Amino acid sequence: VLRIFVFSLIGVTSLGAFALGANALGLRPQRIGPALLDMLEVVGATVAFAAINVVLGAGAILTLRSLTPWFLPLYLAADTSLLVFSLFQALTFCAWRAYERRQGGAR
Amino acid sequence: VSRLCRLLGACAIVVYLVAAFTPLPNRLAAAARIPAELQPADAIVVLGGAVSADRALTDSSLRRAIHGIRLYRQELSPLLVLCGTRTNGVSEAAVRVDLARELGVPSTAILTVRTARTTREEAEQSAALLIPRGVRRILLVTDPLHMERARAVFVQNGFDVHPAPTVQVLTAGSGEGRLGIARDLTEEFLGRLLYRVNARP
Repeated sequence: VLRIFVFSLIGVTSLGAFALGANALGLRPQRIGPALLDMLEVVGATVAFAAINVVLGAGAILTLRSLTPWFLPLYLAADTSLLVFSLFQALTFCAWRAYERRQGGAR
Repeated sequence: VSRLCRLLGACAIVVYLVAAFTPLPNRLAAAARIPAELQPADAIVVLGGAVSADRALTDSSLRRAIHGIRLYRQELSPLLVLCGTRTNGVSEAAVRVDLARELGVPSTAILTVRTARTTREEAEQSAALLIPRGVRRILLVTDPLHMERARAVFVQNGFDVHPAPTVQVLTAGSGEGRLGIARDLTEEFLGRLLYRVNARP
């Protein structure tokens, strides 16, 4: 039931957005493929930022624990807020690259 | 960079779909669960969770404390050891002691481990507290996914450990629940890895 509900809901809103974009906003339907690839790029960049944040965070906590009397729980490095910030970082990074690409400056 | 990110993104979406919409996390959790070995013991040791500034125990801390108190009320041991460090100015062990007293456990049957911040420290401080009293056989209370790592460090510290895992939802029906289990499994896997790398003799 959950799967049917979620996938139906996401299917309906996605088709609605596609129809809105193609008809009301004049977006070309054949550009949906490159747009999906851009989405994958943002998701991948989010995962990369999240992994770097978790590893660096855990390393910093372990270093603090071993070199100072301070104690921070390792769970801090796995806080959900880090994932949200990783998404912000990824969106900014990908938008920056796309902007530079449009200007002809990015590799 | 773009290709690598896209590949990583595709993998992440597949992992997300598998974790949220298939029974895999439930099955992995079932496989990682250690069965209870409930039998009379010298002490019941209840591992800590966390407490908030308004003296509310977290779900995990409360679940463990209640399970330990239930085992005590079933007369499986004359001694209840409640762990829990001080966070946000509140002692988790003290909050648990109040709870245990309210639920009928006499003060004379309660001991506390108040400064241990990790599972390993809980094992070391429990050993310092209990082994001089001749306590070796313990019922160890913690969440099912945490039990294997906890049992290993308590055995390392000289205890004869009988697992008494809490009853925790490990067969989630919702996507959110399965993602929670997947997260718990990942955290525990990393915890075991860290304990293995950082093993003390």
